[in-house]
Amino acid sequence: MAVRAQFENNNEIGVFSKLTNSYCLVAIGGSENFYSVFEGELGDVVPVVHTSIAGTRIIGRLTAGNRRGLLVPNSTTDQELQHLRNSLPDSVAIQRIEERLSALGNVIACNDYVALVHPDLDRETEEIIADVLGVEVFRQTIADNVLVGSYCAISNQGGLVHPRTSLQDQDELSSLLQVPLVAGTVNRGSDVIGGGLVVNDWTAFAGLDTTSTELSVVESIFKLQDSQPSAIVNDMRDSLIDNYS
Amino acid sequence: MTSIYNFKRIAPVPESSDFLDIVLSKTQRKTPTVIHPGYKITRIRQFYMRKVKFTQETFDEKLRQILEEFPVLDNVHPFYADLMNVLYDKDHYKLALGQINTAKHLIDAVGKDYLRLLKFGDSLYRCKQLKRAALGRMATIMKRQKDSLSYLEQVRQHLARLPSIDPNTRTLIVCGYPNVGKSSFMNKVTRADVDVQPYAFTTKSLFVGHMDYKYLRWQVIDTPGILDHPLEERNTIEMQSITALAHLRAAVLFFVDLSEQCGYSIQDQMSLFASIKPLFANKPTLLVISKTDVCTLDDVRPEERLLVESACDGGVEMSQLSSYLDSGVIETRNLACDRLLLQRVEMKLKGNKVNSVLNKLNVAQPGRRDTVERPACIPTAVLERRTRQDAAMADADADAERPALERDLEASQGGPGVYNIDLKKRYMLASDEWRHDVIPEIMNGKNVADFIDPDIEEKLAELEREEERLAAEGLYDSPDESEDEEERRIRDVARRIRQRKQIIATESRVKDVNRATLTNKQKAAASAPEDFVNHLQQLGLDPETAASTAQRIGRKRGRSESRDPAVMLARSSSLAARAVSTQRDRSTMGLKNARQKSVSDKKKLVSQRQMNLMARAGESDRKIGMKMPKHLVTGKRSIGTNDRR
Repeated sequence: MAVRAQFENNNEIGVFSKLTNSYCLVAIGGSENFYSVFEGELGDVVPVVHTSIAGTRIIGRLTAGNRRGLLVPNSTTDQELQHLRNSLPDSVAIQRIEERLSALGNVIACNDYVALVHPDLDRETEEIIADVLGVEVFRQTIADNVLVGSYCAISNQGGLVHPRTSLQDQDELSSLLQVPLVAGTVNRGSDVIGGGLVVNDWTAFAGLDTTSTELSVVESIFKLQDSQPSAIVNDMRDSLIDNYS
Repeated sequence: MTSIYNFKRIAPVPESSDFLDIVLSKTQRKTPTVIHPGYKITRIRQFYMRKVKFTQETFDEKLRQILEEFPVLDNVHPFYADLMNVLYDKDHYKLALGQINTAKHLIDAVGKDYLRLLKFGDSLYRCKQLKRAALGRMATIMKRQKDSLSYLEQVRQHLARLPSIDPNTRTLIVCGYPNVGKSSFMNKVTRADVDVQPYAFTTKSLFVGHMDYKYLRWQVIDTPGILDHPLEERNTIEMQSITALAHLRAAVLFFVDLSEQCGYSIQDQMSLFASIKPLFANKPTLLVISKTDVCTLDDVRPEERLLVESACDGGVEMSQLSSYLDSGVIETRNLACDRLLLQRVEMKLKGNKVNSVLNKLNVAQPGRRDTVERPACIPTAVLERRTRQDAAMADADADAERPALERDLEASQGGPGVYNIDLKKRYMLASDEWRHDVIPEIMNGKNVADFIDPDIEEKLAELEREEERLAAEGLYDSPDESEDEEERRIRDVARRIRQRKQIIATESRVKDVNRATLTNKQKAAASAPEDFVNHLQQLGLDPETAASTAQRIGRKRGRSESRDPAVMLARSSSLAARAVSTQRDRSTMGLKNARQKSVSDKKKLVSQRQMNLMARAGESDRKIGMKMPKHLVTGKRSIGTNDRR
């Protein structure tokens, strides 16, 4: 199910949270409203963990991870690492990475099988990603943007990419990721998909500004609540054309 | 994409008397108020000119604001232009704005005229009279705008209350005879709360409601009823409906009441449909038969039925509904929306803007690149949870049983800012008792992080061994430094130069250059050629080169006998005016002879004479002609004596 949420009046919830199939990280905010949105949806299935990374709240942009592992930048403090280790199940490997591009969430987009990474990432980092997350790693850009993590959101069932992605790019990315892809927006036309949307295989959270059209595209492409990607082409075609053009 | 007309932001238009009060009191507040007849006349003039100018500018600004804020009929969407024509009469509206514009120009002209006159004001009194006249004339001009201003204020109030209709979005227009159930339908499909009463013309203006269908936002416009008569005879209320029908690209729902409860026969209603049909051209049109709970199409007489059915050709679809029974309402809405959406999409597909959204409509399906299965990973708990939620939906009071969230805890323990979250509450440790154990940051010189790798000591030892081995193999030994003679010499010279530079710097520091000294003539330091050779040697030249250089540079001093005779001649001749350094009389310079000098001396005296040397009384002196004029100090007045002070 796709849910709308807001972090302290900010719609870029992908900045303040990280969602995977085996855990969810949430920034420590002024109140528990944002945390409880995740807790209410996921609480009894996967651990929902309050954390900070390097003392900041932008944990969604600083970390990358999937079901098998979590990568944190080298600015993460020992205490934070300890807290994460204690809070996450042992099946999740946590690795601190020495990487110049320290906003790992912006430069890595991954599901449980494939990762797209920034073309300038270190060779060592690439190997660590492959080992810790257990994924194939591809250096890619999305609609000519090197920040692949910011401009797409992917799960094992589908993916939403930057609205200006060309059809060829979509096909190429889709065959790399082996999931259906569609271009779209969140938060009433924002192209920063990774910032406005966090998603895993059975649920999605989008910014509060996301329109119902955008949300139904999200539900269809990520196969949430038994909807199928084909709905975008069939049922929603007219609405999308009328809405976007 | 959306063009929202917001007429709510127009500032209120004051009445003409209020207008005057506003402007004049602003002048009073914002300009200086104290002036005395004793001030310089330029200052007095400037004082009054400022008042006139300020008043004129304030009027100008206020009137300009009115002209800018009111919508220009030629610039707004034709729907609004026509609606405003119907409601406020285009001519009247334009005339009012035109008069305001004229008044603005007149006031500007008055201001300009009086400023020019004020430049010639010769006394405080006259300046003041001119100012009064200027302000008075401006006030008169404004007073004449009384009607225009009050009309514009009424228009403003009405405009602000107009529903905000977006002329370009997806719209359904509900129209038909009065009292046929238009507003009831509106209330059913949207959340608008339109007044429904059992008499004609309950709805007297356009109403807007919004609804969601197919992930889109739709706008439904409820129009006042229309009667079947020629366009010229239509009243304002009906004309609003006609305007909406004429200008909005929307789906039209024409309501027909077959039960004739509305008080109009089926023939009347169908002839209205025929007469306003031209307005439905290129719009998806639905003939909606309402009140089917009372009378359906099957219940009416055959000829009337034929009449109704004959209207449904040429793309007009028929639909039946009963707002009372809630039957057919949603079907009618969906039919209308689908037809309109289809039309809009067809139109947009013809344009070129659709190319930019093609990638949003295309779902890229992956071609298989290997045989690896990549299944989704959904925990069984999620599936269980879904079935539980479905069950909970049926159960009304399941909400009370849901587990307490962090937010509930927060609310119960003091709310945000007071409640302190327990980060360790969900730690997954071997024993739950360990959760809140304090871990010392440093213990026995070690941090917990030091134990993340159990073999870290071993690895460190291994690294150190390797380091030792490498050192023993001489990897870090510095390469053999064998410099040749030449290089050593250069190094030596460089070292000496460096030393010398340091000495010079120290000496100059010691000399205390900041001390105040007389700038005396540069004395040539007496130095023997040997000193120079020494100096060069110290700078690093070898002795022979230094000596030869010193000889080359050292100038041979010339003796007077050997001077060039031509030069000597030039020195002694009278051609050189300043050969001898003596003082000369400057007062005679540039003058030919003594007579010229005496003339110039006299002129100088006259020009340097002080003005009014004899201190005579002149016309610019203050003068009191008569200290106590008799006619002012004698006799009695009604209020007492004439002793004024």
